[in-house]
Amino acid sequence: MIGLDLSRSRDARSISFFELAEAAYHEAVSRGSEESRRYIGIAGRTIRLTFAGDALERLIAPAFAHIECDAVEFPDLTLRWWDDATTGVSTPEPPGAQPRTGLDFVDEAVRIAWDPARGSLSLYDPSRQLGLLRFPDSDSATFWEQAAPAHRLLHWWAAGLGIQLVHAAAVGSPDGGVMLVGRGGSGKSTTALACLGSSLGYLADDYCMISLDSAPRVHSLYSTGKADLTSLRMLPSLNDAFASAPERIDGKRVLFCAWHFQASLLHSCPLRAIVVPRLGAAEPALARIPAAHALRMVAPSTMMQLPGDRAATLARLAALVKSVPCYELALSTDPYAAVPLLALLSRGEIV
Amino acid sequence: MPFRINTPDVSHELVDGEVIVVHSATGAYYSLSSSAAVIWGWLDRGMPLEDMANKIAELNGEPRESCLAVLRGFSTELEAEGLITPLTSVPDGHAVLAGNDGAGLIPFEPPRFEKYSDMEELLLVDPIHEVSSHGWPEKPAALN
Repeated sequence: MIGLDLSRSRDARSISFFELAEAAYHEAVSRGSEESRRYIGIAGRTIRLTFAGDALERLIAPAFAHIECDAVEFPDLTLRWWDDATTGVSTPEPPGAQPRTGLDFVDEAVRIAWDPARGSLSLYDPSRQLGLLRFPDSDSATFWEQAAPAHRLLHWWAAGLGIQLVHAAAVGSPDGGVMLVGRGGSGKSTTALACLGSSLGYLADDYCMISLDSAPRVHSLYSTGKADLTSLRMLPSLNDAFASAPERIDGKRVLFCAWHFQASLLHSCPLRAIVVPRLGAAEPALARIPAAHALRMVAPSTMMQLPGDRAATLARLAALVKSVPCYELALSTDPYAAVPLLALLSRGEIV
Repeated sequence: MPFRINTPDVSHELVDGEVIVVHSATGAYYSLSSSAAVIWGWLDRGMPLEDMANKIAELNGEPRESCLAVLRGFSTELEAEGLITPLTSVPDGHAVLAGNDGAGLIPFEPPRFEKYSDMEELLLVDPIHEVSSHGWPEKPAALN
């Protein structure tokens, strides 16, 4: 019998739980749910995505459509997705955990994130570069899971490589780009979406990766963009594209940009500047701000959403804000009016 | 009296003379500048408040006891925020106070911090509970 031995160490118990979940994935495949494989490239690494059955694949894969790449024999990370209802397996859940709002996070030899309300389970074994993502049914893959799949797992993996997942939007060109940082509602997503179809490429509206090797580079993760009703009224050029996008109960929609703006999507570029949007100006304007100000805008919102490696996350973000100039961007009610300023920053023509 | 920073819940970084402190458990974050940034660095190195008071008095010609009173008030505020915890003894290997040229301390302004609470709402809506795997389930019958 393969059960959890509660007399074992904490690490051994979490490893055992991981093995049980992994066994459930393989059982799903052995029961006839065809395994589909896709490969994506992020920051020079290749990640293999495998899906037991196609129910989740249809929901998850579009977010990564712009960074799909050729198969490799030895990927840098493998992420396995499945849901119990479609595949007919019964993946173990932690019934000892309380049925409460939020996320239970286990930070042991393997990392486990358990969402009791949605029944979603994410597990990562850094020793095998293997991640597991299980949902009770495909309906449980929520709006957020479709917009930013596996973002915690990707954070745990990237942190081991010194790469940082950041709560930020990003736009630019192959020669250079800018990152827009700030809490939800600060205008970063709407401003980034306003760049779709402009001279600027689109990398992210909410989460991107930053590598800091010799010079900072920003990397796209998701081809998605989110907008609520207020943002949609400010972005008339996107209304047709958003009209068919999945909608949340509060009216927020997620756009799969690869379906509508493939030519606008940019995989990666050197980072030229960090921009903190501020709403409420008559005309868009830029002003230099101290690096510490930018750190206050980017670090807490990144750290609160991404459990694990928080001290290292803050250290990497501190190094990041010191490596490029930081600006406040005063935004008017017309998000398109800010695009020329972002283009100048991306080209390094404002310092 | 020395203190320790309440890691791992509390993370901190110094950027251009300003210390940014993030309390992951409460969602609050803080900015410490000038004398507060210097004193935070000393707290992180396990310096007793009494040694700090000696140094500040030496640099500024202020009465040592008044410096110590200010430091005690500041440490009490930081402790109330859950950022530091008093230690019963000076930690081994702590650095001496030599090397500070007085930057941020001359003239001596009472240390203060700015607190930002806008992220606390996010944690209330979508909290993260750090737990251990202790007590997690036996394998369900379907997988036996």
